[in-house]
Amino acid sequence: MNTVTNNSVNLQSLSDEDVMEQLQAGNMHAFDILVSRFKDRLHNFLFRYTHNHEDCEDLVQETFLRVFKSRQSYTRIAKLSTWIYTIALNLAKSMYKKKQRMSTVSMHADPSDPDDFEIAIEDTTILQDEQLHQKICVEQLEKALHTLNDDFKEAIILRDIQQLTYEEISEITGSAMGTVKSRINRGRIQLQEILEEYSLQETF
Amino acid sequence: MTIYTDYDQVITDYLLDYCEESLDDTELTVFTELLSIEPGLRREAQSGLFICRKLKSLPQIKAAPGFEMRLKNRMKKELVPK
Repeated sequence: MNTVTNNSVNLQSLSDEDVMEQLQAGNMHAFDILVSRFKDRLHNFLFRYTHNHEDCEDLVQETFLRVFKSRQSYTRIAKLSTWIYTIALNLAKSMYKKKQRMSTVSMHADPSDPDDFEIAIEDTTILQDEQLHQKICVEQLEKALHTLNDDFKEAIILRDIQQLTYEEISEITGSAMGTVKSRINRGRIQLQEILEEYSLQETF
Repeated sequence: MTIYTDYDQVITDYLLDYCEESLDDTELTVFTELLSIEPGLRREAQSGLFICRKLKSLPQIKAAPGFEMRLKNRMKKELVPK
């Protein structure tokens, strides 16, 4: 058995934190293991912020780049997954803020003109098939999630989509556990209210 | 809809676990009794349960094929010493 295969067998059986230790010690194959363990989880997480696959992949790549560049700054005080999610969340927030600034485009900058106002350009999707009810439900839920206040949204995504523990969410978001629980609770209620509004809009 | 922001932490914990369907039988019986006499709490619990189930049904997004190769190419470009 060659060294690479031997490494891969050994690394596969290690915890995330031990694999990271290998990477810190200069074993570059450890990085491939981390990519294979986190790539899907990060896509599933970051897609809820980007709503498109290209931007999502870009953010996931950026997250891995940061992980690689900052590998020596990781200490075992935190779980590796918590550290990686924190990097991903910060990148997602930066991107989200940038996109929010870009989503409002001023067509004419004439404050004296009463007809001159900013136009919010929204990304709209034309449904090709009216029968795709399930798709509509998913899209409505994704849209509702997107509408939520940022604090509620990140708590809901980390808990209900990523299935992280309250302790992990508390560490990632830098919020007290009670605050995290309250945000999840209130976020779920708000989501339901937003979906009810969509449903009413469809009725009329 | 009434939002009970001052709820005792115990009730909040019960509510979260109820929505995630992780209460054991005894806890569920006790909490269901409480829900039967607290309509506001019942509405919150039903909303939360509905949303949790919906969120769980969202499709899992995975990395597209070739992701590792594209990442490697980007790393080669960005990590090469200038």
